[in-house]
Amino acid sequence: MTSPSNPPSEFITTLLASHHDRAAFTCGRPSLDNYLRDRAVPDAKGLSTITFVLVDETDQRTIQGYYSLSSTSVEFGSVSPDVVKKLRISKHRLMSATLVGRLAVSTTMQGRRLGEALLFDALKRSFVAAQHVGSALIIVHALDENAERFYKKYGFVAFADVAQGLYLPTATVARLIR
Amino acid sequence: MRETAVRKTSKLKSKAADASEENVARPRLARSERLNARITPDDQVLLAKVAGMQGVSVSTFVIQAARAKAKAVLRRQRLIRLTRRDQKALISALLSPPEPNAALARAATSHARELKRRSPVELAR
Repeated sequence: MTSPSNPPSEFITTLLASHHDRAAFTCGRPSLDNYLRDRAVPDAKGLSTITFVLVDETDQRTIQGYYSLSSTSVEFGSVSPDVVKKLRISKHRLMSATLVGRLAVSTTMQGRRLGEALLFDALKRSFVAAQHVGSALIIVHALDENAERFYKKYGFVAFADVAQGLYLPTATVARLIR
Repeated sequence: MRETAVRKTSKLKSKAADASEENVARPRLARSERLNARITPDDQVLLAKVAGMQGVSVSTFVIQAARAKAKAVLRRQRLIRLTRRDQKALISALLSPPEPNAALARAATSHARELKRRSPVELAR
């Protein structure tokens, strides 16, 4: 496996690899289990969405949780030239963002604050990625009201008109890292 | 197994009685793939009824619906179009990013704790 450019000790997760037992993972949401089992590897190979897993300290096969990251864009309508300049919005009125599309903790490991540790890991990776490719915004996709409550607790703001979407400026995360 | 789109459509049409042939008569298209799916009797009845109401075959109906859904999923992932009020709120958040709240700061602490607890050997994988 190629070594990441960041010191490994910065993150609690590792890139999903073939030795991880994807089929055994259950979190209570079949769509999240199915994604990990069926789509996570091909998506990572195609570099469209990258999945990171939290594995047991003693058992390298067992996945305790995972999240997946990809790039997305938000499209602005008409914006004042002043705002375009300040936010460096492209002439196509697009701004790139990092999407935490999925985040799940296995049923056996729930209730140990692993969810928030995993979320912070995802945010930290989003911040590091933003330092390389530029991404001023982190967007999460909340599957249900529980997930929405979870993200709101950490400061994410729900879009009024984007179903299941919430956002947080990358700069907010940066303040906890730098 | 491969066959042309036109042949596939007309083949299924002999089963789905009520769709008109003219609607689907098209020039020969690129070769297509076959999609097989199991379906419950209830769903079969529902799909046949609704496809019939729209004057299309069941397979056309299913493919159109699946394509629309797939495109919506892709759109959501690739491009998020903002409404005026979302844009307004987002711009002000980006112009003055909020300080991390207490819960987020605690998440950073939980993360640091997990980082210490987990062995460096594992993390090097």
